[in-house]
Amino acid sequence: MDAKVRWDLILKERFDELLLRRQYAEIHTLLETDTEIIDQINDLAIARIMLSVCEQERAAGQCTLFEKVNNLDEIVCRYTVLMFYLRRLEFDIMDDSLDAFNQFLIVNQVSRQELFAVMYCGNIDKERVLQIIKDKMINGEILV
Amino acid sequence: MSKIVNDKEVCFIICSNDQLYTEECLYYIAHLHVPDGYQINVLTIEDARSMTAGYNEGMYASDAKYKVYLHQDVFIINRNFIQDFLDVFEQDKKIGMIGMVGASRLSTAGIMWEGARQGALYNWKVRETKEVRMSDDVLTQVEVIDGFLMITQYDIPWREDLFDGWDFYDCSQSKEFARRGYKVVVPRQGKPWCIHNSGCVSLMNYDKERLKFIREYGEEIPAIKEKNAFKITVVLTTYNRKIQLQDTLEWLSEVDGIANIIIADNGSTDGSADWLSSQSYEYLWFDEGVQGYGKLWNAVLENFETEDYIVFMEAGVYPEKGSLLELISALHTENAGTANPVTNYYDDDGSRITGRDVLAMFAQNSRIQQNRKMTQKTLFSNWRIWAIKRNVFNKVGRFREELKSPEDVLTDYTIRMIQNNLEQTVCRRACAWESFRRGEEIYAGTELWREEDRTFMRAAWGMNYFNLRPNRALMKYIKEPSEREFKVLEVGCDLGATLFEIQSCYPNCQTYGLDINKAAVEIAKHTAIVKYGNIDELTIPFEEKFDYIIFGDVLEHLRHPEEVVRMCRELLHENGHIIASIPNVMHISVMEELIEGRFRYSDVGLLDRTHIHLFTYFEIMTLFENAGFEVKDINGTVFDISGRQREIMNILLKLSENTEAWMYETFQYTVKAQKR
Repeated sequence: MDAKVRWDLILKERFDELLLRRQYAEIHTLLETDTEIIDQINDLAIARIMLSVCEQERAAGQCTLFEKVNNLDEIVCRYTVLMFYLRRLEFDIMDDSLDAFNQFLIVNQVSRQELFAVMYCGNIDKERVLQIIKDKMINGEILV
Repeated sequence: MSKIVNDKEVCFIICSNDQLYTEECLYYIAHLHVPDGYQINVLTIEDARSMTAGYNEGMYASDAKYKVYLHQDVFIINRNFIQDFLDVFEQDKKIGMIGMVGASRLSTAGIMWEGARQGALYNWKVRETKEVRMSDDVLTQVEVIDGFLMITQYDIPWREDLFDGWDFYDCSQSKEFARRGYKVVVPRQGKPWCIHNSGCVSLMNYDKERLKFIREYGEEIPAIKEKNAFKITVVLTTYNRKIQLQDTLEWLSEVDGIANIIIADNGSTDGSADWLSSQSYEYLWFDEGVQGYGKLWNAVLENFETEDYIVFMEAGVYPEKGSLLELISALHTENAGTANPVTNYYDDDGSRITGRDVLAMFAQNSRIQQNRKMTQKTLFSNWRIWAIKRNVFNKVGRFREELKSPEDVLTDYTIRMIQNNLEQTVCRRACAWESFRRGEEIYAGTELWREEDRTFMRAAWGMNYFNLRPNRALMKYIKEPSEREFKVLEVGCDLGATLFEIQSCYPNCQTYGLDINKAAVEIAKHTAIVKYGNIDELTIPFEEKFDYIIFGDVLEHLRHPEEVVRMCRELLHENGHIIASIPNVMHISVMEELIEGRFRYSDVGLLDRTHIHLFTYFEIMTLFENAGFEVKDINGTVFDISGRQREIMNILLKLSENTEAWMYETFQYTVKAQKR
């Protein structure tokens, strides 16, 4: 069991090293070589989801998520905060945090690919939430 | 001095070590409707040393009558949550604690998720979030509840004297309430009341805590009490293995649950009989010489009193201490017939027990692996150690004495059980180590027995071969969430062994089979929806559309393989797959024969005389490409090749730039191809 814990940490450290050196091809190999192991480690499982987001962003000629962050913790935090905001929208308890959500999207340059990926993982009603965003966002500042 | 309880107050108690999650959890609490006259309070316990310590701290600090203990990653989405749980408590003052999810019965290992569960939640995992509903939506009394959210109306101390980690505090608290005569329930929820981020669960200290739990509450867990009450008869078969027999008997003296051991000595001449006569065991010795296993096993049943559960095993097999009780606990369902443990020669998922000294560790790890199904249905049985419920003999009858080799006796019995709708399972919590060398002649019979048996089996069942082993190399290509509903058709399903295991792995999968062997269809009908038909006639007797169509060593037997594969496009859903195994005619053993001017057909193998089409890697790719499929994955089975074969292969490789070594080394290809 101890060996497993060390293995988790080694993989996360390796991910951060590769991200720091911007070695994206190696990150792809790290996350896709043994997906069963990666998907058992929460943070890396999130990074693996975001890997496909990056591929979509790259194909669309956009700056990729991995280029916008410095480490794995930031990737996990973006995923978590996005999920939190989307759920508040879904359950209609957004209150006055809509502006904060809008700011989060802008400051962190969240792409629609990233937003949709989190919606998918959260089984969030995409059409409904998008409609709420469109109806409520002031000046249409949201990037989606 | 007892504290004054405020019966109009609800306190939410959260052990917190992640600010982001805790704040979100509090955000949802702040949005709950608070019933008139009530007030709510929140206590966050920072960096508690254990769950029980944190919850005790919260419990003693609050005078609220109602306390909601929840994880920081639980978000209460039912805005009427407070009124709803108050209504539940109002129904019955004996209800002490409410959970969102619970187990109506813990397993014999004391594990919550192994048995039937009650309740509902939105389960948030990294890749998906889904509503999980585990039972009918009614108020249900349960044995234990899951700790992600627990609501109490009475204060009972958490057992921090026992549980100093993050596991089993919930089961323990459930038992503490039961000890004081209170009920623990899961309410009717309608839509689930909570989202829980379950993520990937750490089981690092799980087993240590589990053992503490069983030590403390084992006598109060019905499944464990019942299991410990079971009695087992072991029928130990031996032939000229006196030392192993003595060693096995000594080993069995430490194994739990054995009421009596009956030794069936199949005419040993090595002094076993003399030694046995000086011991106190019940034993049977055939002085008229070696007998077939059908007769041997029947003789035991006829001459000795047996318990309700019987384990048949060979001397030289070493079951782990608790494994026989685990094994028979797999026989408790009405349809259960026989069960096998995992052994070093009978492993269902590649696990290996390397020696009897590692048995206990292997068994312990097997029992706590959350993602494994603890029992899996199978058609194949390991005759060297297997268990049966005695009343199965009333339904199915005794063993056929015409059959001699134990493999065939058990194959015949398995088919008869299937016909009686009885199931055979592998119990992964039960482990045993087999001491035999590979290829060792374990029983006294010779190849002659198998030959005689084959004649009898052909007459009895109208078939020559009895394939009871699933094709796991093909099953691995089915990657679906375990609860998903989908349909699989296997063409050439034979007795349905593969379909049977697919259905066991995916309970909501509907399995269909097609075969040209009428006798096999009659048997396989008991394991799946199976019909007689010849796909080479480019028609099938099913209206359904499928997600997967399996061809396990079938395409090479067809006159029109490409047309058949093309027809499958119409039978598959969008993005449906064909999964196939196909022998490789380019294998070096065939090339070796060819350069000697030979191309000899045989009854089985690469040059089976019923093969009509022969395939290489490129021909397989072309077949699927032409038929409108994209090969998504292709793998090969490789066996060791001889030095001469390697020499020939190296020469052949120099003759072509298009071939590579693996094309000669691959005996059989497995393919997953998606409809374009």
